[in-house]
Amino acid sequence: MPLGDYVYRAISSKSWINRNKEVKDPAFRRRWRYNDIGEERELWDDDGLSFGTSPYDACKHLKENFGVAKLSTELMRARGFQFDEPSEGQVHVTNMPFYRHEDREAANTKTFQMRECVVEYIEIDMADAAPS
Amino acid sequence: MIGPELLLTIAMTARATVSPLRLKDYCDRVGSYSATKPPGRYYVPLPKENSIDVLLREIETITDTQSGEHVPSMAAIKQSTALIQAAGQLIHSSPPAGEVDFYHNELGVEWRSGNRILRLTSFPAEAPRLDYGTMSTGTQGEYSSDNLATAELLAIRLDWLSEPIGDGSNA
Repeated sequence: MPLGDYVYRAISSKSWINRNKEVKDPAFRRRWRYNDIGEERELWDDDGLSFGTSPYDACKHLKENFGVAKLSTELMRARGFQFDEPSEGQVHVTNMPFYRHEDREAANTKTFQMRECVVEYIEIDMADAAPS
Repeated sequence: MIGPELLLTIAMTARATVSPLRLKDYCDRVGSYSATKPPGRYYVPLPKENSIDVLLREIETITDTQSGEHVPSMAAIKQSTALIQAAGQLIHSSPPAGEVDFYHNELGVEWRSGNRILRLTSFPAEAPRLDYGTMSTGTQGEYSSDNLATAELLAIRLDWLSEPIGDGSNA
């Protein structure tokens, strides 16, 4: 299935939205296998930074969400972001650097670039967003 | 009747240490300094609170208001507070309001001015850093960073946010 014009990134903390309803850096961090004190994470972003192909798909695995960022895939590709094949409503940006000590600068720069691709912040109600 | 100068001095001293409610209580006891103003209203000329003070107060309350996996560590909070306080003494401009965010023990503070962006990130066991640049939706923006944030660097970057850039995008 080809990737559409937009992908959606779930927001899992209220503090990741600023007062102008813009999505902030932490929403675009690719988790490394180990946390900052060397403990192995239960969940990490092995395949890449994950996006939903719809707002619902972006949030369906979260217990709680604070909306989604809608990003233009055209703008993302123009900035060098690469996608894997969409599957079951999910797609990954495979070349996002891990957010870890040795890659902070690269990760933060790519995060700023990813924020440039956000076209809209959308608050969603999962009950309404679920496919019928 | 208490003189306006004395009341201003008291108010400035009280500003950092007491809540507005307590200041109101105090004013209730001493009365309004102006006999021409109606009773029950307060005309204490409090100094205008700047964006750095507002931000520091917000950071102060984080541990009381946040819970869950993204609560910042005390080390990150203290580090941010110290840097912002010190930078606040060095800046030559009035920076835009900063906004805090949380991510797995980290504390982030972000300032925006038009297309310009500045982020201070403090960690539990790592040097604080600054990331900044000019965002663009057409061609990609330009970004840089300071791997060791100091008060001096933070002050320079905050002043940069307020500099005019000619095209009005930071207005």
